[in-house]
Amino acid sequence: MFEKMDPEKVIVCRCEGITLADLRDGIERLKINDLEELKRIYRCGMGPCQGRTCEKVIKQVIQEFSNNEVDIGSYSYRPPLVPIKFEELANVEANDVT
Amino acid sequence: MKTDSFDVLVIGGGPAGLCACAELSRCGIKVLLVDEGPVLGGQLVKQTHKFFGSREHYAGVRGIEIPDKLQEEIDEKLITVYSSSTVVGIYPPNNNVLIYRDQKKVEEHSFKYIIIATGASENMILFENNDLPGIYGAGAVQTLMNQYGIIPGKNMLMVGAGNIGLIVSYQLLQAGCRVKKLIEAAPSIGGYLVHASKIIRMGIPVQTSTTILKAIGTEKVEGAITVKLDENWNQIEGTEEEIEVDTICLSVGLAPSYKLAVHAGCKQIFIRELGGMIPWRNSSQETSVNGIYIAGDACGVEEASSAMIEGRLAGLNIAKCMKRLSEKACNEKIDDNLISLDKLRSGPFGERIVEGIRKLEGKSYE
Repeated sequence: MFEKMDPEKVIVCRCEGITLADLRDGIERLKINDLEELKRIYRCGMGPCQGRTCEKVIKQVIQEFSNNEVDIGSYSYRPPLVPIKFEELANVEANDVT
Repeated sequence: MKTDSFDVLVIGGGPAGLCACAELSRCGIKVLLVDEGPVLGGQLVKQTHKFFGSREHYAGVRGIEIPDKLQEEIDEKLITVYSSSTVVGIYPPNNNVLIYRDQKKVEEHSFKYIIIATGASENMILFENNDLPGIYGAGAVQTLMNQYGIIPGKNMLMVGAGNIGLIVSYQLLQAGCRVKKLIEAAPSIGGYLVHASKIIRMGIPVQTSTTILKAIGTEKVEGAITVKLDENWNQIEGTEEEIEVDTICLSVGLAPSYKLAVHAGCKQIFIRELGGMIPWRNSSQETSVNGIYIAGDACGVEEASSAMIEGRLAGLNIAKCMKRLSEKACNEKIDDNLISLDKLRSGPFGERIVEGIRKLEGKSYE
């Protein structure tokens, strides 16, 4: 499905600027076919959107380039849902006195 | 931690969330509604087209008018709205919740009942130069055009012929843009015939079994190359076509946004017909975690009309648990809504959803 595309020019994770070529290298050369492991190496899905845009397409890329049927897994979703400042988190208690 | 003067937290003020609030407030239940947007309504605020179906599902009413109608149902004294605010985390086992209020201060609360009505997010697809300026999701195009009056471009390529792709194409025409072509990877148009007919009558070429291969341009989109697909979705050699456009609009499906349900410890289940991984829920819209309910696109991508009914069901079931309404009265209303939901899903477009729900109800989450 990607054979006619230049993988260097296909952005998979736009927050972190990870291309199809990067992930293909990880899957084919390093034999990684697990979402979490790929994330740990390439940081795909670790930007501000936290995988909101890219999780589904990364899964698609793994399916396309790993030959066997594998359990790709899902990202672990942890708080906070959107980026917030430490300063704001630290002030939680103070805010609540009102 | 704040001791809560609210009985229920509703997350998301779209069709599902607003309907949940309506049912809850009708039973005298105090609600905190947290919504990300500056105005309530969710995706309805950009839906300038008229709905159809039956009158009880707002047939003939424009999407943008529905939020006001729903808010008329809600008793203002019983609802507190945090707009431009986000629930950033739900922590088990006591359903402690962190709310990022006005995008500047964090509040901690705790709730016995929570309704997650967070909707869905747009899918993206991969093609060459997919980071060029001039490539938009259909939702973004609707926001720019219908909410802020900004035209995204002059000559468009629309990718995806589901209802959203069809409706947004029509809205682009209304705004004076030219939709040069509408392509769809599947062998047939996915959306309703009424929407498709409108597009075809306006002379927009619709090509099925076709996908986008690359965007052309250096600083911004100047064109696109499309390619035909065979019955196994493989690209057919020699069928590449170049088209001159300045904007590419992607309308390639939605995925449920249910991350907060995962924070809360809700079990997930894979059901292809409902959009892939979704939180498990029963017919009362309750998840595997006691007191946490989910409604609307967040638990399976469908339509605004069904989201509204699911929201009402979640609200009514909470009212029943809280014994704020007699069990008989609650059950009657719940049954009415269940019948209404069945009716909505009875057409050929509902088949997939019905199959998905059947699978969901047949499975436990373990």
